[in-house]
Amino acid sequence: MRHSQARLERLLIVGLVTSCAPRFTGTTERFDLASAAVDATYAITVWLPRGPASSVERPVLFQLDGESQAESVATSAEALGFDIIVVGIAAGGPANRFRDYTPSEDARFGAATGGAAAFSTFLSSELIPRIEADHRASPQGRTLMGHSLGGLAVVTQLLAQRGSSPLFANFGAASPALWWDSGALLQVEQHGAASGIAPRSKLFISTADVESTDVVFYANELVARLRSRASRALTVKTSMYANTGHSQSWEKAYPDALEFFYGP
Amino acid sequence: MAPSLLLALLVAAPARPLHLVAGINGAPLVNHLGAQVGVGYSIWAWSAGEFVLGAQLAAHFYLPNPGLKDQPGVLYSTRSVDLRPSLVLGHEFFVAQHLELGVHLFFGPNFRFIDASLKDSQNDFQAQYHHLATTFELGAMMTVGWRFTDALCVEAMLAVPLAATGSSSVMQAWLVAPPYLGAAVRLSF
Repeated sequence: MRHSQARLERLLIVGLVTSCAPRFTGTTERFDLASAAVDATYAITVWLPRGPASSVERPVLFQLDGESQAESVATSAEALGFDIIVVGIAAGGPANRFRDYTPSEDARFGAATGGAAAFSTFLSSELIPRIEADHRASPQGRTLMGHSLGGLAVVTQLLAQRGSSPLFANFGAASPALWWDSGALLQVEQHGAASGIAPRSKLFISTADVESTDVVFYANELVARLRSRASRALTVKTSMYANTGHSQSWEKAYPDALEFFYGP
Repeated sequence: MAPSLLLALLVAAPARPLHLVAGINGAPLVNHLGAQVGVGYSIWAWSAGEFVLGAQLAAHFYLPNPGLKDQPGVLYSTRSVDLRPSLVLGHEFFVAQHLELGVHLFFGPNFRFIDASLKDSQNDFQAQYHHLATTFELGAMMTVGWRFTDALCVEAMLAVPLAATGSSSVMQAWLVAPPYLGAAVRLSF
């Protein structure tokens, strides 16, 4: 009797703790999207804000590592009062992250690497048109966010886009793995500086104080270089999170990135 | 509860109330700062009956992750050490003639010193990073000891942080304050 009472108390406590955590109250849609650009199929989850379909087009946030991070982002956006659509793109495992999120090949990692350009084609030619066909999604104010290798993919996309109608307006990179291939993206940034970064872009880039310091080194160097270009087209915000390791740094970074992108 | 425990510790006069515990500890964990290969661990504890009040100091060195950092044109060096002094409150009791179990709570600061440098010749930059990360941790520690005599005990321990400032979950706490295993000799006076 005493034992079952204790068990009931424990269940109540677990229930209370669980119910205290904010939950996304909108609706979700899931579908698989086969990509010809990558020759892979992606599990896509769309997090739609609560309430009737908006009469205005909503901006869309595309979240890498969607299977583990998109729900948190959608919940944060809802809690912060931002009326956006969040699209989670499931990576589908570590090997796929190395394939899709890295800008150059590196045989030391024993997996197919360097597929960021093909992944970018998947985003621009396959996923975004599908989302905008299915929902009242605005082509303005698109955001791409990712963490670690996902952050590397985000910065790769930022440095690759040129021209007057950029694919994304906002870029969120939490603890990006810019050390990849001996800091290859720093050279990309240097070579591309002359042609300019897409206008009206915002970059949020964050690091954590108890993570591998090469993440910090390369993020700081990239930010210093971007700022030294004195480009009015790109607004950069940085943050370093105290008492934070690498694996969970995105949990602190993404709400700040959302505020930066969509806040007043 | 706390005053009565303190009173018990002060008033009770066990035969050997002072303990010096020294040993090694570490963890087969590899986080993004590297493998934790702890070196030192000691407790000075005063016991009254089955209750223990003590001070503990754990220290760990972290070895960099191999492989990831070995990149052409990049010289990268990182050293990290933590010091974790804490207060320990515990309950130790015999479950067999020589076999002693202990369950403890510990609380204290965790000072993590990080010293790193990088020289990237391909991108023509170098940088240094010196940082002291400070967090407070609350954890549980379990000890299993074999008491040879009243004065000598050999024990194994497992310390698991349960919460740390800046972390909203146990898993997050472990990223900045990893759990560790240890083996120690306890001398009682």
